Amino acid sequence: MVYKFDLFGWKRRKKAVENLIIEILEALLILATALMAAYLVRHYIFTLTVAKKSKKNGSSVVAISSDQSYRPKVSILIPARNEERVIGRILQRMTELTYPKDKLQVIVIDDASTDKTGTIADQYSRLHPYILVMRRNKEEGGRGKAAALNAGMKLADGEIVLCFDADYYPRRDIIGKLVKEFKNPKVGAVQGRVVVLNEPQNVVTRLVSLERIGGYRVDQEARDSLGLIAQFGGTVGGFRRALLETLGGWDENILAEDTDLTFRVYLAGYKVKYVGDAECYEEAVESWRAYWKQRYRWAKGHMQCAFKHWLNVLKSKKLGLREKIDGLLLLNVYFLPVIVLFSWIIGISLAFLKFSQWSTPFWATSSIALYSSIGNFAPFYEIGVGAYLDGRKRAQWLVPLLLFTLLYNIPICTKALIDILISKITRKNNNCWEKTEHSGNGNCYIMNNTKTLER
Amino acid sequence: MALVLGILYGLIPITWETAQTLFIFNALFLLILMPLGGSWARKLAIHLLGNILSFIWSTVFYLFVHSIAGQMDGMFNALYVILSPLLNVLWVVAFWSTSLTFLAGKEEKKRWKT
Repeated sequence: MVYKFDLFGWKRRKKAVENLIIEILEALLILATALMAAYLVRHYIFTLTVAKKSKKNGSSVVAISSDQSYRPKVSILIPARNEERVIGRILQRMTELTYPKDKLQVIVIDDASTDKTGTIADQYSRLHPYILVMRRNKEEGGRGKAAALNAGMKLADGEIVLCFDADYYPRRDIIGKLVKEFKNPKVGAVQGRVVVLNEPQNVVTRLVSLERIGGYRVDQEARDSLGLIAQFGGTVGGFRRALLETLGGWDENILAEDTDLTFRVYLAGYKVKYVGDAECYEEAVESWRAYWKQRYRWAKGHMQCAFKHWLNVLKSKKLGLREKIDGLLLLNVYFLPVIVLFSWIIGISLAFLKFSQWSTPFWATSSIALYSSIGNFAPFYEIGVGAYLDGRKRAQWLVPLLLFTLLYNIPICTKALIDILISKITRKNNNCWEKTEHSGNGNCYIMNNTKTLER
Repeated sequence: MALVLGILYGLIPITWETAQTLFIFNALFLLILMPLGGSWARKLAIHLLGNILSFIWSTVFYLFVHSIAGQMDGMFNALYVILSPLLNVLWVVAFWSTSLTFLAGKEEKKRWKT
């Protein structure tokens, strides 16, 4: 009866098309939810692993003393571009390391700085012969961290190559703790723990600190314990020099050169070992603007790695099934905020197309989806447990605020994805290395916490 | 406790979203919070308190949504898609962090004594 006056079948056809669109949208929403649920389960397993491990070992990370008999020569690379506010701090720390100085080589790569970075580094070099300064002029320099590190590698003669960013402040015994892992021939790279130095400064540094706690205290710790893909984070870690040379050094076309190397190490049949008690302090970004720049670079770089490695990971005969699954999830982690946005758009479209009521069981799936994303790539329960295990009672109160970082990461990651797609279509590499500015404000926290940090 | 929860679930009308949130909340508490340090009595008390809070939250949220839905209609659907998961999650996250603070505080005191 409905189609009695519908001579050409337009209404029926319109209805059929509408139904098809609804079915496609529903299928996409289910797919997005399934993807995010996979991350939810992954992080749930991580949190559970670390919580159980801590009960067995006590709440602190078990500190294992470094092996005194194994002392290979170590080259430390410190790339620095306009870091006059912080370079003196890390170089002073290099002179205080407990590792034998005759087995140490520190290379400062002055990447075409226009401030006093080079002058300060030269002062240290004159006083300490194991500190070398490599200068890059305007033509060579400013092409990103990977390019600077590759240049520094030419001077490195240590068996092990470690990297530290200029704004970092390691513990004195960190080199021994990191290097001892290379006794195992299967270990190709190591990663220490990053702790935020200037946490009390403002809400941004406090939230970054929480993210770091979730990322290192739980995420990296669990991945290492479960034999999954522990990640080299670009600083506070390093490689066997021979392996690094075989792999061809850092890829200068990728913004997340650390993630890229992590996967190349695994695909070459080696492991990355996470060393939780090798702590190093960093100066976190202090404003939302700096946060945007840094995360945009990470997101874009990570997505570049995802496009580069996903097929290699799937095909690899050197990775087990669990490593492959974890590797793929790790590679795609920066797509999550985009998927959240995607789910919202589909959800709103469905709301107008299909449902007249405000509540249907189908909407419930989106709540599960969001769980996995709150807290910016580490869910709230993971960060909460990390803070608990670190004895960070007051930091817990800020966990609900991580919702803002999720919302903030949605435009960041979406822009990164759009830019990558544009560069793929136009075949133009529009990589632009936006350096993170460091204020040097971390110095006052070092002065105030000398007892804790001077260990 | 399961029996009490079952009776409460039967007595109070809850939406699918709330049921899922409750499931996740209970799963998180039982599997992650329980292995952490602290007395069992304290953990169970926190767990029970969380469930009671969830009923209060879901009832208030349900009434609130009903009253607004009647006035806004279509536009509300769009808002609801985005806001309901966030609002449902909000109390879980806040309660989770408060509980851990409480447990961490007790553990810290214990450590000081030893």
